[in-house]
Amino acid sequence: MAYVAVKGGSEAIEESIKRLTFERIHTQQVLEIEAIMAGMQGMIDQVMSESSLYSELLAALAIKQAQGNMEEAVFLLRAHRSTLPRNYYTRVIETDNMFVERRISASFKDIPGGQILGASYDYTHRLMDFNLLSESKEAMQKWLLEYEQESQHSSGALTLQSLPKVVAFLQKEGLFPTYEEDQAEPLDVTKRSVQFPTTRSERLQILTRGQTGAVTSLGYAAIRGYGAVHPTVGELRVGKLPLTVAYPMDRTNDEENDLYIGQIKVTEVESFIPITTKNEKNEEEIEFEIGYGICYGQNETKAIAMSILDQALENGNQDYPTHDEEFILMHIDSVESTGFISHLKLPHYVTFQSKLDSVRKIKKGTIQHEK
Amino acid sequence: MAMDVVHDTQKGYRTILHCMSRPGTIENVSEIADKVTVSIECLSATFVTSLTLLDREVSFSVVGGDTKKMEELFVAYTMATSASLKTADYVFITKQASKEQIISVFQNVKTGTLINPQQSATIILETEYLSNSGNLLLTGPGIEDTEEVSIANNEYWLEARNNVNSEYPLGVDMILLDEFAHVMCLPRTTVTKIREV
Repeated sequence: MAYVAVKGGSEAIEESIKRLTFERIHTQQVLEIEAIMAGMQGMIDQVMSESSLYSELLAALAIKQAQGNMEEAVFLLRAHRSTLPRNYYTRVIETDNMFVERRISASFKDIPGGQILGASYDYTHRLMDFNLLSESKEAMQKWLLEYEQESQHSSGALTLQSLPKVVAFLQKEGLFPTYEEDQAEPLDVTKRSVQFPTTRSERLQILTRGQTGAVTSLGYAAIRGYGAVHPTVGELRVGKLPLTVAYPMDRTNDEENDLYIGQIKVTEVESFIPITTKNEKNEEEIEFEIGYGICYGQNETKAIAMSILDQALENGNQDYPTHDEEFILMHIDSVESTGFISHLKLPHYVTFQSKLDSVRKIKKGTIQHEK
Repeated sequence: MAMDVVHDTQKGYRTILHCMSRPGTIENVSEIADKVTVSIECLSATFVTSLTLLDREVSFSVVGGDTKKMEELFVAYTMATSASLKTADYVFITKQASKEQIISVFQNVKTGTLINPQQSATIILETEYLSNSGNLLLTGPGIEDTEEVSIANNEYWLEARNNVNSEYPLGVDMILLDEFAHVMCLPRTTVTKIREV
């Protein structure tokens, strides 16, 4: 047996929890939830994505309670998620219907609908802006007013809805194979524990709720040589998707009666990954495959890394760790990995004593032997 | 006072859990059942059990009497899906069910698989009365010695239950409810014996 119940210490634990509250509030600054929601969008997006729960309010609350500690915030929100009843399932969404805020392609300069840069850090200088140390409300309002006036003068004749997919354009040319739609009911990894080999639906779910850092690092490893993937971002979109559910009392299942329940912001990536295949004449040919990445909020690095890992796992290859689904899927979950590492802090008094005991015995044995 | 779907079903759940871990123990949910104001075709304890156990993620089936009305009611209140006897996660047998109907439930319900024995059905059976004195003796996990119970009309289904539970871990768990809102559970591990006079 690895663990024994340790009794006592409850007073010390109570005091430790009190100390935690003290650390959070001792400066007597109330961190407003609205402030987190307004100014910490990137963090909220990550917490929502890793927790698999889309609620900006609850994510902000979790961040506040966890004092900005990501793994703790994700743990809190995941735990809350598990208590929620699941009464409806949304209809399947076609991401073609996304209301696009940003959409770029690294594969083609001219894409139908155009490159839409939107909001991104990609084009900034990464210099600290010390003016933010004393940002004033007046300055904000002034900037916003000017911005509004500027945008009134722009032509603004951009279509942002129902933009065609870059890949659709290539499929028309016959450069990409068209696959039949897979209508199989996805397996839910939050209801049934994963069994290997996994289905693609399970892989995509685990990847999209994976810890941002872990997904990014492993995606990077796959490109750097611990995998065999060399992707190009075919299309990256950030935008809002409308969600609908079937009208609960409607037995006809008619989509006309669907109820609109709101929208979610997502980042979606389709990577083009060249692979070498042999044709009928045994000549080497290059074909393209798509790696797919999607996650809640705006988190482009994670979505791109996910698309790399998706393709790597789709073509499993035991020679490379990043193509091994057990290696990737079992280790990228925030709650699972941080939970296991944290458990090392739990009392291991008995296991460690038994290890010490055997070391002592062996040492004693060698000393006697030398005599 | 109307039923509090959150806290009353929590209490109902604790009651069922307790009875399931201590087979033969009879508890009472009348405090909750008395609050049921909906006009229903089943016992109010059955309705409380349905609110406690059913949700969008599970399926159920009703046997005996006007099943259609009950099914509609359960769907409306819990969003669970009504399914055939062979696939249902929960099977409700009303007191109107005939002996043949009850036996056919035991012969047709899910009993799980060897890898996933938990994927079996739970049978919720309505009966006239349950009491702790009688000629039925229970033994098995959760019972220190033996438990003495009597269940109305148990001769209808006792043999069918023994058959379906003969290959542990496969089998079905049962929740028994009576007209006085008593609850008793017979998990698949409980062995029944009729006391010889």
